[in-house]
Amino acid sequence: MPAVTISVSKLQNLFQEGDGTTIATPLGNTLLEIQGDLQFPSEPPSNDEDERFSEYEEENVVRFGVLSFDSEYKKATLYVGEKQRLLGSVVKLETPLGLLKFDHETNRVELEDVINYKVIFKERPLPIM
Amino acid sequence: MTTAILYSKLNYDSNYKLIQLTPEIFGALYAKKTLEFKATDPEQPVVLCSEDTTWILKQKNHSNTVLLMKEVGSHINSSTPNALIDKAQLCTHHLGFTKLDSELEPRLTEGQINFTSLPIYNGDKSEFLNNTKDRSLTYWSLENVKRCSPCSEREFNNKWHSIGGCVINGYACLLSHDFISRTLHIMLMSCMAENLALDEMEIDRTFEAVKKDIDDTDSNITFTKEMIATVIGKFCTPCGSTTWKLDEKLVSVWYGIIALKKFASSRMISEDEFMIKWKSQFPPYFSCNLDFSVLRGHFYRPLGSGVQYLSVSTLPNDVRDRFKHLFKLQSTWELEEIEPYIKGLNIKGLKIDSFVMKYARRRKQGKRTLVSSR
Repeated sequence: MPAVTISVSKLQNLFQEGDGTTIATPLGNTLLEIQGDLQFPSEPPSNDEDERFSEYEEENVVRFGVLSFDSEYKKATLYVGEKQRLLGSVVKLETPLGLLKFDHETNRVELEDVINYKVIFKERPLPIM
Repeated sequence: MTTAILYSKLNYDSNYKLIQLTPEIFGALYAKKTLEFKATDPEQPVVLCSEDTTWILKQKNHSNTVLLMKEVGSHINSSTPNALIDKAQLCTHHLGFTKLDSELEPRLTEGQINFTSLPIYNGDKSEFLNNTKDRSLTYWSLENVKRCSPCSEREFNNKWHSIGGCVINGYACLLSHDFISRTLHIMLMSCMAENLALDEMEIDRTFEAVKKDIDDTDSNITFTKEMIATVIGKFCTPCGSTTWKLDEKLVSVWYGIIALKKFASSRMISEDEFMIKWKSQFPPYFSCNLDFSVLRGHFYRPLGSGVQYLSVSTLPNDVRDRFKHLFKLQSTWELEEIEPYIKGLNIKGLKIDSFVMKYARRRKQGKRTLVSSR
C-alpha cells in the first residue's frame, strides 16, 4: 500500500441486477454456504475407487456433491458423497457482495463479480435413503 | 429443476476476498467512480475511499464454509454420480476455487490526513529548505501526503488548509501556530488598508495586498501565495468559485485562544478583564462580535468564576482519568463547558447526557445542567 485502486474493467455490464432468481451470476460464479465443514485431503489418495479425484487446468480437484435447484420454489438440495443430503434455499443477499481478487505481484485489486444471491444450507445433513 | 455437479479444488486460491457493496459503494461503482484502498502504512487499518467518501473496513470472520464456485462446463475428467442425476435434466459443472472465511464490512468514517510526520514551517524559509537535506525528516510532495492519508480526495482538500497545510518549494508542511497568527494578522490589516471586502476575498488580490504591505515595511518575513491560500482556507468559507467569505467566528476563536494563552495560562483572570484583553488582540479597526461561549473547550473556571486556559491536549487519554483530572481542576462544571473536553472519548457515539452519567454525576439546576464527580 499506501493506495491501491480497485479495477472494475471486467464488470461494465454487471451493475444492473439480473432478472429473476439465479444461483449463478452472469459471469458464472455461485456462492455456496454450508453451516459446517467440508473436509478434503490436500492430495488425491492412491486408492480413488470412486474416481472422485481428477485434474482441472493442472490442479487437483475433487467431486464432492450434486446440487439440485428448484428455481420456482427457491429450494436447493445438496447431495454430499453418497450418504448425506442437505436441504437448503436460495436467498437474496441483504447487501450485495463484491468479489475482489488481490494480485500481490502487480499490486492490483480487481472487482471480479457482484453477487446478489447465495445458496445456503443451514440444516444438519440427512441420510440418503 | 436444475442439477449441478460440484467440484472443489484441493488447494484453494487465497487471493480472493468478499466486500459488502453498500448502496453508496454500489452507486460509486455504477457511476464508474474510482475506488481505492488506502492505509497510512501496512500496519495501519485499511480504508476504502471514493472521490468524496471514506469507509473503514472491518473484517467480519465466520466459521461457515463459504465456497465460491465457477461454472466450468463439462471439462473435468471425472466420473459422474449417475444415481443422483436424472439424465433428462440440464446438468452443469461448478468448481469451488476459493473458500472465504470472512467478509469486509465497510463503515462510513471521517477521512483523516496523515500529518504526524510533516515538517513545521515557522516563517524561516532558509532554515526550512536547509532541513529538507536532512534525510531523517519526511519531506513529501502534496500528492504523496494524499496517497498516504486514509482520506478521500474531497475530504482531504476540505481539511488540508484547516489543519494549516501548505506547500513550500514543492514540500508539503504545516504552518506553525505562530506563523498562522502573524499571517492572519497581517492579512486582515492589509485587506482593510486596501479596502478589500472581507466577505468576498480573492487569493490573488489578498496576496497582492499583503505583498504590498510587506514590501512597504521592509520586513524579513516572506509570504507566498500558497501561504495566503492556506490562511484564507483556514479562516474563510468559499462563497464562489474563486471568492471566500471571512468566518468571523473562526477568527474570534483564534484570537481568543491567543488571549487565553497570553493572559490566562499561568493565572486565573476575571471574565470581564479577559474580554478587554481579547478585544485588544485584534488588528486595529477590525470589528467582530465577541461571544465568550465560542471559547468553550479552551478554558476552565478554577474557583467557579474567573477563567484559566486549558488545552485538551494536556489531558489524560483514559476516559476515567480525564474526568478525574477535570474534577480536580474544577469541582462542578456546566455540561456545555465540560462537553468539548470529553466528547473525543465518546467513541461509541452515546448521547452526551448518557456518556457523562457513566462517569460522573449530573443534576439539573433551573435551565443549567451541572456535572460533578460521583
